[in-house]
Amino acid sequence: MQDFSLALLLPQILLLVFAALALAVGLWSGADGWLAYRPDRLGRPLAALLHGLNPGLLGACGLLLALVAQGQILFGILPQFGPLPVTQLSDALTVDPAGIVFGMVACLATLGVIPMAADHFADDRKNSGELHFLLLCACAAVTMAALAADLLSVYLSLEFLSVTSYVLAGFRRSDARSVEAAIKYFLFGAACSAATLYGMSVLFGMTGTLSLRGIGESLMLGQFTSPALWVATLLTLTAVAFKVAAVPFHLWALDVYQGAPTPVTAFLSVASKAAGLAVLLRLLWTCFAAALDWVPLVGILSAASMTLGNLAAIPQKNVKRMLAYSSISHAGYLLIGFAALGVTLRDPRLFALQGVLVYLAGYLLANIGTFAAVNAVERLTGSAEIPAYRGLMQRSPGLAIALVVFFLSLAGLPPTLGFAGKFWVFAAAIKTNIQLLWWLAAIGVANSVVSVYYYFNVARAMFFEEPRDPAPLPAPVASASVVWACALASVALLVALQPLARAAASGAWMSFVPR
Amino acid sequence: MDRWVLTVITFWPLAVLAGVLCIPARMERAIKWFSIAGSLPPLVLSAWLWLDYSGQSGMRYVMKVPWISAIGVDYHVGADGLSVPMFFLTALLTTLSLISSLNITVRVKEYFALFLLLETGMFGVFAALDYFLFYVFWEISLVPMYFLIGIWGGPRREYAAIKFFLYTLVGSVCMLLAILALYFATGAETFDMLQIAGQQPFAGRGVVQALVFWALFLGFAIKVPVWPFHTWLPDAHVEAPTAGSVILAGVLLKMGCYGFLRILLPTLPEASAQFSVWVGALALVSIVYGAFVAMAQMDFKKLIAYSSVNHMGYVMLGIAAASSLSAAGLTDRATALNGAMLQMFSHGVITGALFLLVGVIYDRAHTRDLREFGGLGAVMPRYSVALWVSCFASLGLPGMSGFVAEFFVFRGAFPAYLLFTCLATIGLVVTAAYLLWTIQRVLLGPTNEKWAKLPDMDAREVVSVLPLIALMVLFGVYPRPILEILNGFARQLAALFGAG
Repeated sequence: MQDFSLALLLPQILLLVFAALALAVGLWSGADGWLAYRPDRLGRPLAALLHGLNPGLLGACGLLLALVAQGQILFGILPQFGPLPVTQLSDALTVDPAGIVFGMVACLATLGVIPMAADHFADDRKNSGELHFLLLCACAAVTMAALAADLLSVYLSLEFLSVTSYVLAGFRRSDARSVEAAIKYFLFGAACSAATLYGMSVLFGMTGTLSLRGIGESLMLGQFTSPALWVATLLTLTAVAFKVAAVPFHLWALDVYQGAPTPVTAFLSVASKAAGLAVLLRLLWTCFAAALDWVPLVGILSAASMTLGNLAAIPQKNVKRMLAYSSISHAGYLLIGFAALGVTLRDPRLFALQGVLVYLAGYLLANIGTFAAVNAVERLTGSAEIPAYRGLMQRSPGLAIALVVFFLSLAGLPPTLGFAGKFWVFAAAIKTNIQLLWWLAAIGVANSVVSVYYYFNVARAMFFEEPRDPAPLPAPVASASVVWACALASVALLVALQPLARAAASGAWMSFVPR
Repeated sequence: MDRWVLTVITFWPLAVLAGVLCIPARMERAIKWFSIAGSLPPLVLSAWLWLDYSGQSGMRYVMKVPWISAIGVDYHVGADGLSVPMFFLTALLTTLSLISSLNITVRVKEYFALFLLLETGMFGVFAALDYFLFYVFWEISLVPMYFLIGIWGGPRREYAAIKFFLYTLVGSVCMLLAILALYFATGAETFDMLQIAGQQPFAGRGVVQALVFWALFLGFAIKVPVWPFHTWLPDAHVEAPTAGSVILAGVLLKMGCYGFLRILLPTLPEASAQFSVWVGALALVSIVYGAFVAMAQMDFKKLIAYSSVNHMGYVMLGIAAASSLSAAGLTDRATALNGAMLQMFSHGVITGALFLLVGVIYDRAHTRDLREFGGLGAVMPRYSVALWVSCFASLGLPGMSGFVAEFFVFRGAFPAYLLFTCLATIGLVVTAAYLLWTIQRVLLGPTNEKWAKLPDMDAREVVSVLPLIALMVLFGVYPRPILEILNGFARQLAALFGAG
């Protein structure tokens, strides 16, 4: 309970304030906004100013400010700057570097999503305020979830994220697929959430506290029968695995990724997954680390997610659906890092967690970039089916080359950051010197090979096949800028991996080190 | 100069690539000549490297700069007797391939850009002395070749491209796991190849050592390729465009052998010695099987492709003999290694020329079916001379570089693996048979009326083949310049396995 300071919540506050601003501006501005009817009501200069504001711009500003604030907090609480790497905010939240970093991942992802949304909803501007309001709220929910330190805040932040995501998935109300995605997402999510709530209630009943740390300490005393503990654990982890889209809680992802508007899919695949990972990490780390050996459990989830995700991606004809399976498999790779972390709890450098963070950075850039490119192609050709990518190299070479960079990164091949991430995660697994983890690494590399097949199936269409219509396709500016920023960063950050590695080392700090 | 030369050679093609990207795609001649001119500086520098290095030994031109110190990765490059000839081979074959690609008409800009990217990847593999760096370049060389086969290849190009990609990738990821195991085994948290090799991790650790050995073996053996991991090769070589086949056979296969000599033998000498009999057996199968299968081919290009399996078998036989458990002395082992490395260079030159010559005839006749040719010797005299010389070099006629290399391998392998060496001579005989038969079917006999009007090789084709033929003859008659370079490395590596 030391150092309770609202300043530590500045990122969340900024996000929510700007969310509200975006909503308000959405009402005023635009062709059918309030200001359009009565421009004289506020006097010309102010009206012009408000007219020029747009929710997307506001959202981007909010995210940038939140990122700056997060950076400030991160470097303010690092060991070299302060006495403790961890600041407990009451019992509900804990501000530690790992939590901040997961929040930053979400903010960066959302920052990439906003330009995509500008292209995607170019013909539907009137709901722009709501869209950005929801996006920023969802992003704020992720940053909250990453800091959550008791069961209640875990549950509330995840629910906050879910509810906003349901609406976002169904944001194209005129599109039946989008609505279907929202309904499926909602039903599946509600069921998982209920299971989690039940698990939490069991945990509370067993330990009499909601605080993760309290639960961890209580479980450490070891007075609970194993079956009850396992039931509680598994149930509690349900909603988290759902957010991460790990097998067997992945089924929603397919229809939702395919049906949701592409920018929303991009958000779900990175930011929402980051929330799940952050909470999973904290639950495993703080609550269960000392009480049970969850490494095999995570190992099984990981192997299943990788294998099923990659194998099922092979026959897909729709790129968004293929990427849904691919994102399931990436959850699996990331879980290798978690399993390695579970084995090396006493490693003060948290080598495995560093690997997870580097991996996440690579995944963030590659996945946001890919979806931005998919968004651009969808905008240009009206389709996300693989045949729409035929001969893309000759029609829009920039997009095609960038997509190859992203595919290399997702498959974990050099010269991209995705390679560094895979390398590091596999290294963490090998480092444990435990047979289970060796197997997991072997399954991981085998899966990387499989993944090349389906990623490069799209590359094949783009490069090897002739376009049906050879007319050049000028990519929409907003999406293309995200594509290029991500592609350049994917390559540049491998060359300049050292600064990122240092940042990962700084971020790999968790509160309540179990010993 | 010494410190920077390898870096300049490696990244120069990337700079040229950046230039190519700035030229508008419709200016095809400008792109072609700019790329060819741009490929000359690395060629000159690697020739300088050769001259400068001769008479020396040990690792030179070293540059070591911390890269990712968080995990102990350095930008660490250097060259020794093993890699100097490989630099020259890479630079030479790239320039000649680009010259022979002047007749490319489809998507010229992409073609030349990919070729330059490929060149950087190949140089990087031979320069890297850090596992992380090595792996990065190893994979970089994979991707452009995938596109070269897939876009400009033959009828089954898509299948061949992805098969090549996935096959090699399986090997590389096994190698990746082995590299990580090496990294953690030393406890020094370094990816420095030389340092790890110096520490001899896993010495005396049976099972783990064997696992790491076979993982690395798979990574390199697929690339070489050693039977039974060769099945990607005929597809990739046959479907690739001519210049792609030249680089594939000339340089990319050598990367596998290079891995054996640079990484596997020095780092795991114990396991290498223990398993060398298996490596030798696989090499023998490659030699004999490759030769017989080549003989059965009716497709000229496929025949040359299978002859690569056969010829790379000699390299592997030399490597196996050098690391054998037998009582063979230092000189025998060094001889085998010299032979293996000479064969690497010589095969690059000879097979490069052969693929170019297959390309020449395919461009004219639009078929590669050996049954359809005949009597071309009278129609195309220049072509005929080039093919005669190259085939003789390939079958190991004395006075040609192939002979010197194979002689060294057999001489070196004889004390270690008497039986294998004797059986491997079957391969020699069959190779002679199918190459002579090929000459007979293509150049001799009655002229097929269909081809009576074929034009002889033009300047572009002569220029791209002539340097290779000169090298075959030069090193066949006077191999000393290359052996001087190789020998230092060979003796140093051989000393790990047997005393003098």
